[in-house]
Amino acid sequence: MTIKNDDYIFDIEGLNVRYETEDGTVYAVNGLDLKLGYKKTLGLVGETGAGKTTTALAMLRLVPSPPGVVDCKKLEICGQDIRALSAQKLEEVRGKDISMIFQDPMTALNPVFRVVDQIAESLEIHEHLSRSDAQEKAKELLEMVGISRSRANEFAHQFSGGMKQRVVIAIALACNPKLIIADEPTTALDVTIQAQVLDLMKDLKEKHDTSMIMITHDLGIVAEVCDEVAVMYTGRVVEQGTLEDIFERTMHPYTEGLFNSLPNIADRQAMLKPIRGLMPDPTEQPKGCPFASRCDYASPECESEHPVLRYVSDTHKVACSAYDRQPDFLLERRKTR
Amino acid sequence: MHRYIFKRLLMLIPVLLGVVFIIFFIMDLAPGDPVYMVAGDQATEEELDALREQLGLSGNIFTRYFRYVNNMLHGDFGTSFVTKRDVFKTYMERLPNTIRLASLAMIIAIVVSIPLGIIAAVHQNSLKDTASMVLSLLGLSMPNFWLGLLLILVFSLRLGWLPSGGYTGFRSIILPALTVASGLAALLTRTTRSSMLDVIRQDYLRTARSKGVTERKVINKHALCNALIPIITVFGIQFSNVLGGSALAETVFSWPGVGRLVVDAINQRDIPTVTGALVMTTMLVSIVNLVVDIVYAYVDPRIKAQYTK
Repeated sequence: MTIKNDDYIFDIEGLNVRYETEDGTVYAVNGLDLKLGYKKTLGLVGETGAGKTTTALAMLRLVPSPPGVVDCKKLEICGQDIRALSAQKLEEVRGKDISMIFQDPMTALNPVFRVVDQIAESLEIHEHLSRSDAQEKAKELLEMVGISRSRANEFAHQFSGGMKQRVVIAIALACNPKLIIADEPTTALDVTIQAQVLDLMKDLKEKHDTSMIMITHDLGIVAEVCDEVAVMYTGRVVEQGTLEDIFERTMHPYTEGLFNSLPNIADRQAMLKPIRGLMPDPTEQPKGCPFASRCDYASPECESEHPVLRYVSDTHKVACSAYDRQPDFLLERRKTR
Repeated sequence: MHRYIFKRLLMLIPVLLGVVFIIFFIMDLAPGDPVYMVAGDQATEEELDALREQLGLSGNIFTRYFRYVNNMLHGDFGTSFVTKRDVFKTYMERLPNTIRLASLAMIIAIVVSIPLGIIAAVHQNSLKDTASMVLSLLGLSMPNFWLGLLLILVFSLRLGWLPSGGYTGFRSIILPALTVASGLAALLTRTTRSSMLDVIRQDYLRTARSKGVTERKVINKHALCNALIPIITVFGIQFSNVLGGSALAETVFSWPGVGRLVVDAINQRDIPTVTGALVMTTMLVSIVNLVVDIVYAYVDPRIKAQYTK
């Protein structure tokens, strides 16, 4: 495989995913562009249903079909055109170059196989280890994620939620992948375990120079582990930039809304300000800005013109047409600073 | 696990006692006095009483029940009214034939139905799926005796390839086994399909795929192992059914099995044979059920955990 692009671990252009169900077509991802430099961690943030998980699945060509339909102008990961891979090549890439940590540890593990075998399986496939060597290495991986090797021969139902999540992480890390896609890896965990898992992932990332996508709706986690952030809304990236760009120089009204929804320990009297309204029906594709109906800054033009994701600085991109119309437009959040 | 098996074996005792009683009760309800059948029309009242005593038909139902159970515990299942032969011996002569037929039919059913069910589930709503479902509906709804006659017509009479009945070596088992297998395979295919459909969208298959497991192995290993429990359940029920004798197929092919033994005995009001054969069948069915439950534990560790509790 020739390396086509040295600068990015992955480069996605124009990704569309829709689910064609009997009740209508759900547009999950709509013209998404995303890329990430080597050894970086990207936080993919957004509400439930924003298309984060679908984007991740599309990167591994794991979107179930039917009903899923994927099309994409460009999908390069680790220098390989994922779209063009044969089924066999794809199996070689999965788990070795790219691996995924799944959201729900309760259902992500196979209930009838021993935990150690589920970890050893990818080692047998990709590193061609013998069964016993793979099991030995799997036990080391278990210890690395903080599970005693004496429990290796147990089954998933004998593990607690946190332990299951750590097994899922061990599976994803088994072959030292170049890119890890972590889909809300800590949602199912209580805060102490959450911190442990995050530390663990940070350590491993540094040790193995892994790049990572961290899918979450927890901005605290983003602040802790991510270098870059992409904010997703209705299957599109609405704002993307470095951690500082997003946290300090917020530009999209939706991103501001996410920050306003966070509880503030310093000002407990202040009411939480959730984003009003609901996400638009994903079976319809709005003509204008999909966020317009919920946006405090919306003007009549927003209902009709579709905003384009545009660079506002070298690292910072935003999809909001207010900046085109009035160059001095500033969010409330930025004014008070 | 051993404790569990022991407990289950102990539970066999009340089950068998209950079954014997029910069989006794039903046979008692059946009209007609078997003594007349044995003695003929010319017998005097004294002769009938003597015969009744001799055949163990005197006394009320409880007396007879306890006498029977007592004999049974000593390995004595009585003598046939009709052939005057030992019931246990007769049954044991017939059983191997039934086991042969049952096993071959089950093997054919499994070999056909599991791949067919998997293919149907993987290609849900496709032509392959529809075709295999139509086929299995056909198998389910086609009566055994009719299919048996059809097979005899084609393969024995028209083509002359296979014998039409009796037991004369391996060639004669093929047609009855196919006949019995058709119904079994049909239900097993449907069970496999629906059980696989339940499993096929599970998250852990996605996990397996994300590890780089080949699609073939995802389906045949990761999915199938999880779909096995309902398949084994249906398999167990079917196997105990055919062990009890496939009366229809055995009659059509004049196969010397247990099913025909019971049917003939019922027609001749041969009470000891009917009772003995049913008790033995109950025992076999219970053992098959126990084996199925033990197999569950090896297929699904969660069930094993329940047993050892």
